[in-house]
Amino acid sequence: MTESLLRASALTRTYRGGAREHAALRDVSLTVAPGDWVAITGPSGCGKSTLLHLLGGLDRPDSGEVWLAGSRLDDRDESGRALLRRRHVGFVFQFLNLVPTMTVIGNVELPLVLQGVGRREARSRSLAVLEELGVGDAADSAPAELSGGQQQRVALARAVVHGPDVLLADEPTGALDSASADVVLDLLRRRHDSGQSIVLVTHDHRVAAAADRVVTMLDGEIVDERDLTGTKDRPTYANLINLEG
Amino acid sequence: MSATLRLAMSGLRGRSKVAAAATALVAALAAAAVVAGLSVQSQGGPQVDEIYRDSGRPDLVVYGEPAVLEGLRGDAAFAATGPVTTYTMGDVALGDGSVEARVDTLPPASTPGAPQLRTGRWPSGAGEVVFDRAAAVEAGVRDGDRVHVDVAGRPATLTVVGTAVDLTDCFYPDCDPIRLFVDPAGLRALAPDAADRHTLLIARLTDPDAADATAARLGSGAGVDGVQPWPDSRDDILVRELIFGAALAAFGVFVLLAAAFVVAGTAAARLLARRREIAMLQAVGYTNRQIIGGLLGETLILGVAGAVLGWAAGTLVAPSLQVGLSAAMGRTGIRVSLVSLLIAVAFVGVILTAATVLPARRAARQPVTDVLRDAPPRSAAPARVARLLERLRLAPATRFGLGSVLARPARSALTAAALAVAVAAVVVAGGFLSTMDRFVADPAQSGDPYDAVVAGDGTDGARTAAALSSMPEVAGWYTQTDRRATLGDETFLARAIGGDPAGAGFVMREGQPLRVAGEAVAGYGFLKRFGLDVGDTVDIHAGETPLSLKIVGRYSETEDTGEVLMYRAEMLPGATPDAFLVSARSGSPEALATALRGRLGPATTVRPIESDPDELALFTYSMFVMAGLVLVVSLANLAAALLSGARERARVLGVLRTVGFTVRQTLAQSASGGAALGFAAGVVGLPVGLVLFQVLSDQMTMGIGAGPGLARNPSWVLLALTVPVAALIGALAGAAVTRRLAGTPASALVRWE
Amino acid sequence: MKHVVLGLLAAGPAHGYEVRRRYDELFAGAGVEVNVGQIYVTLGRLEKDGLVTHTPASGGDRRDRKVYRLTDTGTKALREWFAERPETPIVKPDVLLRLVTARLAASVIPGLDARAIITDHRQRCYEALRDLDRQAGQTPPGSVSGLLLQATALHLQAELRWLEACEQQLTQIVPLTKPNGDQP
Repeated sequence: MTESLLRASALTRTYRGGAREHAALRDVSLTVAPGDWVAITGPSGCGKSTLLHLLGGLDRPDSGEVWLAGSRLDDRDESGRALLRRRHVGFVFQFLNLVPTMTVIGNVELPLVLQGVGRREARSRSLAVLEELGVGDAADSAPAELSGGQQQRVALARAVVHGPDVLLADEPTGALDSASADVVLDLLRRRHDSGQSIVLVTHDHRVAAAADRVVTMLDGEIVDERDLTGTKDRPTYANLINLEG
Repeated sequence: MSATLRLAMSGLRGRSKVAAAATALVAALAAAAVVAGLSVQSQGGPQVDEIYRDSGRPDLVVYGEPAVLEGLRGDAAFAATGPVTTYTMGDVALGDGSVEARVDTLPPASTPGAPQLRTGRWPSGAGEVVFDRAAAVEAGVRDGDRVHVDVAGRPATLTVVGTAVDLTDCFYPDCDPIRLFVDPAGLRALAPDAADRHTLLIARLTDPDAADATAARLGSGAGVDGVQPWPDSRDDILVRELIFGAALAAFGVFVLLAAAFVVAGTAAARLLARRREIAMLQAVGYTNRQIIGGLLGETLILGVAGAVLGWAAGTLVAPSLQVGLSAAMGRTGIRVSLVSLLIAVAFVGVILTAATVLPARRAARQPVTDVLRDAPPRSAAPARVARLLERLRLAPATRFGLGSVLARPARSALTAAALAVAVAAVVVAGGFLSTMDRFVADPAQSGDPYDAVVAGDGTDGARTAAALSSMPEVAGWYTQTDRRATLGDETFLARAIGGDPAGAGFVMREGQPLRVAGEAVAGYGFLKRFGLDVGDTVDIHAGETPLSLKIVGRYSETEDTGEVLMYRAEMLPGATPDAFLVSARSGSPEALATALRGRLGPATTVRPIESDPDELALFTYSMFVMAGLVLVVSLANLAAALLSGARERARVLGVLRTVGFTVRQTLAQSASGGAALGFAAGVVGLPVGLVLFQVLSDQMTMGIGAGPGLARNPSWVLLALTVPVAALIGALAGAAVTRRLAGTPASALVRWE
Repeated sequence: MKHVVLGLLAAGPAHGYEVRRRYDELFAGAGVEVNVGQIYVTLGRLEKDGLVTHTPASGGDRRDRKVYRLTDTGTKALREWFAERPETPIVKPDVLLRLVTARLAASVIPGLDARAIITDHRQRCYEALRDLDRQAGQTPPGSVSGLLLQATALHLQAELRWLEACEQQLTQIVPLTKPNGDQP
């Protein structure tokens, strides 16, 4: 059995806002193996972003454990989790991923620079990834000069430049028009084909369908987990089309 | 309500209460300082003039022989005179030391120049005395106390039965002698020997403006030892108020400048936050002018409210700030001046308008559709700055921190400017402190290069001179003889210097020191008054003696606002020295005085030089309080700007934390931004402060007659530390304001609204 | 099928295989295939109704040699069809019917798992969506097939979204009683 890459067990997280309490996660467990592509979906407010944040160590659960690449994540403080993230995690958000006061390539090489990689090597690796994702020309531009789709591609570049164990994406296509969304989805597919593990949160089912495994959440709990890579008894979609007139 | 006013009111409602209060408070502070400064400068005059009138308008005091003075009483220029008053000179023990005193016979109550009783009653017997009011208040002498007076070596003890104000000279501690009043029996008891008694005459002139000319005419007459016109005394009385008031007003300007930068910076930031609201108003139909008017109106309402409050505060506080006169004349009442209200409001209004109008215009000019479309605000060439920063090999936290500061050039510049004003204020205050220190430590700067005074009256000049030359404790000595001199129809103080003034160490600002007969050195005030320069020759009358002198140098003198001319005593044959001025080889002035008393005997009056550290302490204390206030305003603004900047960037900080920034790096980026601002403030504020200090101190020293160029720069320690400390303070401020943000989990930062 | 064939013939007379080719040109990209036999059956019906007619081509009376064309009646029928309003999309909530029936039949058929109805259906939708996406990658955008694929994909997404609502409100559809009337 392969060692799991990312393992969350019995996570709970409750937000307290004055008098009101909101249980965002209730006893959620999830395992991600190397090479997996997991999509987490569900109606808004179901807790999927919260789960993703906990998986990436952006927040601590109230109870439960998170294990990332063999190290325990949830018992570290803010800085400890940040240090772990540097090596093992790449994050992409729905928008505002990039630091506006840095150039595109400055943004992309950040994870490498934080790890202490030398300037020259960081730069060349960043440029290579940017070109692979089709935005190599924008290396010296400011993020504000790019379109939404280009910005997401740059965000993706930054998320993978340091070869993280897992790519965590929170609605990466949510703010994009369908053409740009297609491009980003395609890039994710290609990355996955090269072996990148991905955990992706989305409310767009088309994007979820691209993953190997879909986890459906409702009211802070996982209600369904489906493997989409099986081959038996698959209907063709042609059955759905009725052109009788 | 007009649309513009409605907009202004809505803007006010939308402001955070704290920010609005801060703006009003800063305006109030600035207005209070300016109003108080103006008040202090101007309130002394009327007060003094009132006493002048109450005293029967003593326009001229003439010292001389009794018969001559009696003859002068009928002079055509005099409207009325007092009686020829007998007085004697002595020393009074005051506080820790003693001070020279002139003990007058009390003149009748309603004669010109009669002293004004302030407490107690007039003396009715030989053992009673009415004390100098100013000296009494300063030294804590109360009615009923006993004081020790020493006249020509004869000690006496008198009971204080009252205090009075006398206008024949300026007030203690600026001037000595202090004036004491006794009845005729008392004077006879103190000075039985006629040689110790002298006379003076106080007159009211028919034409008060001719005081100086009359003094010039009478002063050169035979039998007249000296004249003191009232305008000179008045100037001496008020000079301290003038300087302090000017300093206060100047710092009010500093505070207002800092406030202007603060307001401009916060206005720019707030307007950025209200972009959508402004765009919608424009879409609804507000014209640019109305929008600018509304935005300006908002700031002005706060500023004017603050200015009115500040005016009230300044008016209330001004009487307590009367440094010199309060002792003598009691506190003035509160003077409500609508003129100063108008000035304060206009001043604050103009500055705040200037600060707000540019950001307001920029905000009104933004394209409406861009804003409603949520397009990000245009910033100046972001890519270029970012590329530049990347070329410098900086740590990621520092790079981001600096980038954030540079991404908002206007706001950052304004914040740094406000801080630079504070730095300049601190440098100026430090410079004044340094200069004051030097004045205190080196009395030669104010024209008094000696440690102890040996009174010349009643002593054998030659014997004293021989004694002084033989004493090992004495490094050098010189004599001075004062004469009221005239040049044309104007009068001034001329001083004949004997002995060896070169050893004394007058501080020459220009030209050469006084060496031989026929030469003269002048104070700055003298040259300015008569329009002369070093190198000119003047023909004066020192008393009755005509002299032709070549001015060979200018020296530093503060007495008589620098209107003093010094020449060699050989040119006044037969004149006895008024005093011997002695410098110590080492040790304190008190030690020298003791040694002198020992050597010269009890019949000789010896006084060590006085310094008035108390006065200085008040002045420097107020300087630093004012500089501190400016600093507080600027630091508060720095903190607010850094905090609001950090909040605006909260989401980006979250993204950085996601990429792997630690908590410490989050603090470090804010600290770098703050340090950059502090560094810029230091680099700009330091030279500006130095230049400003030179200018201001020259104004001040010229005003007191010592001439320009006397200022001493702040200590080199202060100068060297200014920029690093400013950067450090900026870094600390940056780290402090983001502490909470830094500790916030990345998850919350990323979701920041 | 009837109006589709009429429309295909309106482009010009054609024999059966040609009609089928035209059909494929439009819709095969969406994976929709038609049996040539169906075409001939439809043509036969249309001919009986007088909407099309054929002229025998050379080579005898073999059906694949008949060349069909529209009659005037056929053209009129097409025109009438355009005058009609298009059908509104039909909702066939098979899943909902099953869920409701599961509730009604709870006492009769033990061991019915309502939730499984939803999750199984969800899996099929996802799988269909996946296949659709793959096919869409090979279909030129802006083509008829492309539009057809888009319609199907959106339909599937709507279905998935609706399944979430079903799941959220499951308790209102199906009571939590166990089979045989036991309360939980």
